[in-house]
Amino acid sequence: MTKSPLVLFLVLFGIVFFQTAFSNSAPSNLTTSSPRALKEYWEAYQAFAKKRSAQKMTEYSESLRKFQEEEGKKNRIHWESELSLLKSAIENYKEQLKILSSGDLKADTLLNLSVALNRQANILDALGSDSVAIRNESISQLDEHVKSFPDNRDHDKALYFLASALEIAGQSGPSLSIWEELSKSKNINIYAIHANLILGDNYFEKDNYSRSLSYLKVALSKQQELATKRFDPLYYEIRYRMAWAFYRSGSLEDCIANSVEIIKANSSDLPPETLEGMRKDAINLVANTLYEIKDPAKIRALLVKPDVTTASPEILIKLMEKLQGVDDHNSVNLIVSQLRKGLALSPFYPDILKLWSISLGQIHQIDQKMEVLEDLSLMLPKSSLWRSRNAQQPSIIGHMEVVAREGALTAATWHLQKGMETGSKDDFLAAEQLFAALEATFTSDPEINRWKMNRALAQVQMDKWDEASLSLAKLRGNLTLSESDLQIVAYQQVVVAEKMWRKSYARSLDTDLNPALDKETVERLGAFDNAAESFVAKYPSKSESNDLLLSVAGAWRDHGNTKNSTAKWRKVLLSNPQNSQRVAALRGLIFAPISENNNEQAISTITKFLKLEDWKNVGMPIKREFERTLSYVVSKRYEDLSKDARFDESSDLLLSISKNHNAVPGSDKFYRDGAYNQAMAGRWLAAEQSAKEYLARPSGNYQGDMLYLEARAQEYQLKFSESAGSYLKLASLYPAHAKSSSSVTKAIGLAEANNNFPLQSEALTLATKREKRPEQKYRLLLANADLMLKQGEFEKAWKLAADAKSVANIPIDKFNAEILEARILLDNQQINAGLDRLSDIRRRADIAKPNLGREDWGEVVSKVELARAQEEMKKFKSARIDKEDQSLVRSLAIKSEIFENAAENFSQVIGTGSKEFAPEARYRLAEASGELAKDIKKVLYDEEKKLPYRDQERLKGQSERLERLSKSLHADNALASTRDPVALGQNSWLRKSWLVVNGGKSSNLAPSIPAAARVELPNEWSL
Amino acid sequence: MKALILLSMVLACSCTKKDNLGLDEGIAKDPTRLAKSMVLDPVTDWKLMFTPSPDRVHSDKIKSKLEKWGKVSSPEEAMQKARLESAIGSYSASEDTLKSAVRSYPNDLDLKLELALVYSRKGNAESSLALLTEIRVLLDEITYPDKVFLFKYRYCLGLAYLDNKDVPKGQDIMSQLVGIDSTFAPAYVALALSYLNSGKISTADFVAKRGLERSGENLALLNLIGTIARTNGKLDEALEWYAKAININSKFIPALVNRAAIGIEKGDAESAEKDLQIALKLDSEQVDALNLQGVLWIQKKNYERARNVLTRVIEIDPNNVDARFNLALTLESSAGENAELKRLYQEILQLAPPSSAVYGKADQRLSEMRPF
Repeated sequence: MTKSPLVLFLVLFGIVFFQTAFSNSAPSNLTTSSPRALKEYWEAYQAFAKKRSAQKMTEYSESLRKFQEEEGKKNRIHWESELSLLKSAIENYKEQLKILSSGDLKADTLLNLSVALNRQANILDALGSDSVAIRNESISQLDEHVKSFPDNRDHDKALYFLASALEIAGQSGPSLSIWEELSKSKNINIYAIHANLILGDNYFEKDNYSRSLSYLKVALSKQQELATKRFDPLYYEIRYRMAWAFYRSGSLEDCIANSVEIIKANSSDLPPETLEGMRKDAINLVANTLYEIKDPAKIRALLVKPDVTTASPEILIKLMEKLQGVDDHNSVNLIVSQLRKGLALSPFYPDILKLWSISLGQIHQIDQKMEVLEDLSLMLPKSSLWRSRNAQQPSIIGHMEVVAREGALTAATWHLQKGMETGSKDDFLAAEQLFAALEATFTSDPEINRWKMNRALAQVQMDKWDEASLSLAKLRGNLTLSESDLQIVAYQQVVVAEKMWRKSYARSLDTDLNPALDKETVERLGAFDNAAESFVAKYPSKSESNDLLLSVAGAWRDHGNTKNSTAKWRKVLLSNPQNSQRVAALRGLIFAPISENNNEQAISTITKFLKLEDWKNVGMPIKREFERTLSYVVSKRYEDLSKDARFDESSDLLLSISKNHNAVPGSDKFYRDGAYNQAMAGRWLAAEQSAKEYLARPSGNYQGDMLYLEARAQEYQLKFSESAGSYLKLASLYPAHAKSSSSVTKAIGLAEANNNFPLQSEALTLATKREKRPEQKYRLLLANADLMLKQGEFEKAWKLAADAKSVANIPIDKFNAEILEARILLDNQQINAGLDRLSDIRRRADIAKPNLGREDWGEVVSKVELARAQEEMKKFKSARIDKEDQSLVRSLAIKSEIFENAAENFSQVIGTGSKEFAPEARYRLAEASGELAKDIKKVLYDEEKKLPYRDQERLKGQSERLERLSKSLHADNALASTRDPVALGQNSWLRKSWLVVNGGKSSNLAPSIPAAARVELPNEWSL
Repeated sequence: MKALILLSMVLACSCTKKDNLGLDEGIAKDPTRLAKSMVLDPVTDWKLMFTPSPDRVHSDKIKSKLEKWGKVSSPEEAMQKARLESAIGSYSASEDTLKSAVRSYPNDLDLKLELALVYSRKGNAESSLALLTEIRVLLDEITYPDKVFLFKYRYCLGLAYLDNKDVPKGQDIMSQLVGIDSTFAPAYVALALSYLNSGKISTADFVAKRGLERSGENLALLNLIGTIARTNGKLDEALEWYAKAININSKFIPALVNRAAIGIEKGDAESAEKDLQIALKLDSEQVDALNLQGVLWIQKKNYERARNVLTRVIEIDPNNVDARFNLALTLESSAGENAELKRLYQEILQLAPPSSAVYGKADQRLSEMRPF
């Protein structure tokens, strides 16, 4: 099915050819469109070769067949009438040949017959009838002509027809031979030129470019000789074929030279459409060649040649497209950057710039790309030079506007975006100018509102407030503005208003003016507020609304107007804000009272937020921030309250914060301070409860402090025992606490006050353990031992007394410790041991009297003798007077003897002259004397009859002596108290004796002098 | 009223129904419990609960009014009448009025508390405590008890415990009240007296002086501190304290009486008599003044007059042990009245606390009387 291109060529144009031939004229317009057809064929062939698709060929053949059918139908009627004429003519020619035997006439007749037959065959083909016989007959007639008349003037013509007919008949081999023969013709005619062309094509088709070129050069040479003018169409067809042949053979320079020849053609050389087609092909060819050369210098050198300059832009565009097709953008950039100046006014310059910008984009030279696009935009203004130069070509102008609009928009958008990112004023300026150019050129562009908005935005960013404000106001009134654009404009109006306020605010500060008092700044803020509120009212659900409210709130805050700022922040909170907006509003609401030093309000606000916010959503870091802030404001509030001694409020505040917000930094300390403030406010019970609650916690930094507070509170409430326990606990658990030492002392005193002896002893033990000074240690040990003795804890008492003795530094202390030991023995019913110990002490005290000194000796002796006397008095008290006859006197004598012993001991004490102990001894002896005197009287009263008279008298005398002794001793004490009234107040024994003496009777008979001191009972009477 | 409601609500919220008042057993287990509920707010002005005793003019007016008083027709009226009767020392009449009213209004807490107070005045601590326990049961049924009532109730309960020989409980309650309101001087007085009565003079002194510091120049506390000093043998210091009280209020009878007592002790009968006259002029039935008047008659050996005065004291205050002892002394001086003497000493042993001096004296004297 495959047919050679030449066959195709002949099929397509055969009819024309033979029509011409039939008319017996030269085929002058043989290939009017042949170069283009050839090129198209080549390209199709190349494409076919690449695809190697039989289907394509089938489709092609089918198309051809359909074409033939269609053509046939159109011409059938005509052809049938023509066929009848041809038959008639053929018959005539044949009849003539029968007549003619030789000569030019016969040659002419043969040629005409063959042409007519060929025409008949072609028509039969067109009509779908069998034409082989007719065609063969035509070939045979031509063959006869060629052979029979080689010198005939139409020999070349006959060869030409024969070769063509053979080719059509599918006899390529014989046809080619005929063409070869014709090509060698010495004649200068069109047939020889065509033969060379056909052979050139034939070899080109077989990739034998050098052979092809040899035929083409012959064809060119013959054409030059034949041509009446230099540039006829055939000339360009030959050049065109040569350019391609050179191109295929790699002779790029020759290719370009031949292409340039075509490019140079002008409208007088070729029909316009032919010229345009060939020119385009030549341009493509040159571009392809330059693409192969890839030498910028050579490219530039070529493109600036005067012969080429008219086509340079187009060549350049084709070249750029090819280079971009293989992503060689660097070459594009290199080539264009060298050539652009010379092309600036070219109609193709917009496309060049566009392609260049694409390549620059691909190699990431964005700045340069934008410059190129800006250059592109420079063509837009009505007064641009480019526009005036190309004013006559509306399509070019229109194309430029399309390309430049796109470029300018891209550049403007890019500059605006970059400006927004970097704040570069230059970028905003560029953007503004570009948008302005777009606005001016495309006044009814659907995008014009967006451009205006962007321009306004650029103005805003360049601080051209007034211009921006004006622009936005115009836009706001533009009814064509879409809803979304209207929203943007409204937003920008707010932004402008804010910027204007900020500028004014900064100016106020720079000139040392209070912005809140500067009229202009206040007005600006009002405008800002209004703009923001207008936006918010129109777009309440937009996230930007909250942003604007936050900005306005911040502005009012900067003006010190917390009322307005707080209102805005609150509004944000109620507007379903995003998390970040919510946080900002919360911060504002917290900041407001803090800035006004209204820490109370700040605390209230923060605690409310801490309680109500969903911190999982808002974020735990924010919560911690608020807690830190709360800690700060609470501290400040506490300071303020403390200055005014408002302890009630501070305690409530601190405890509330600590209890409800235990994660707040310093919460532990707040609790402690709060509890202490309760105490300072006099709320001791509450302070105690707070301390207890704190101490019940598993841990805390202020356990010691709170124990102390608990103890103090209990002490204040006069809960002595509990307080003593708390003090002791503090001292025991926190020895390093500042109040540890004093707490022990307190614990001792309070325990004693409440007769809590175990606790007192424990406290004394702790105090002893801590005490470093021997004297104090001794006294503590001795006091503790005495306490234990009172409690009947003899072993403990003994050990403590022994310890006291061991730390005693001075003799009197040692003696006192020993006396205590003796008393322990006595109380523990080790009477003899105790008495022995007392005797020993007395003996040693007497020995040591010079060293002891009279006073200390007197004290030792007094204590020893009082202890001994006490033992005797125990016996005295328990001694009963037996009323039996036999033992009456004896038992009385025994009691009297005991009395004598005790009296001896008391006398020893009295003898020391001790102010402390002698009155006691006198009183006790007086009382004992009186008691014994009563006993004797009683015996005398009860048993008088049983006693002998002598005994009665003796006992009477004894009784009287004892009574006198008693009175005398009381009198001595009373006298002592009279001499020393202070002593009377201090020594109870003296006072007791004084009362006895002054009562005139025994102390039991002194009147009871009541104290008017009673509890108060509620009394709420009213008339 | 609003504050009251608020407090009551807080009280109700912070306590369970069963232990919101912390009375008796509850208090014994946790004496701070009621105080916990009351700590929320300082107490109302407690001084309103302690109207000074009426002077003679007022007493006459009260008597006149009581004479004309008809039938009691409401708990409020009964309350007013009973309080007037108490104010002039007609405790039995007051008791009758209140008992009658309580029968008519068995759920009236104020009437019952007033009756408990009358029992306390009469020295009937057991009855007082029993009635206070009844009040507690009624309080259990009340969701929002009155704050002032609660405070007064607690104070009366503390006094009842102290009187009823349950000193630790009484002291605990007084401490709580001090914790609630540190200016509440009556609690200090009660507490200090409880320590003084148990021989803890220095503790009593400490408590009373703390009370004085916190409640200002309270006459009862000044007088008590003087008494403590006197008990400690510091007569001059005691005189200074009494003088302070008298300087503040020259009609403050207890201080006048106590100064007279020291005068008697120091043998300065003249100044003692002067003070006593002032006191008796202010209140002719002031038992301590009358008692001392009796002592002065004893010292002057005018036993008849002494006996008359002391008998009057016992009529007014049957529980007055000092008067009984002094009356006994008047009988001893005249001899021959052993039966009455024994009765008096025996009654003293029944009334006085064993730790008191008068108890010891009576006991001793009773044993001495046997031979005679």
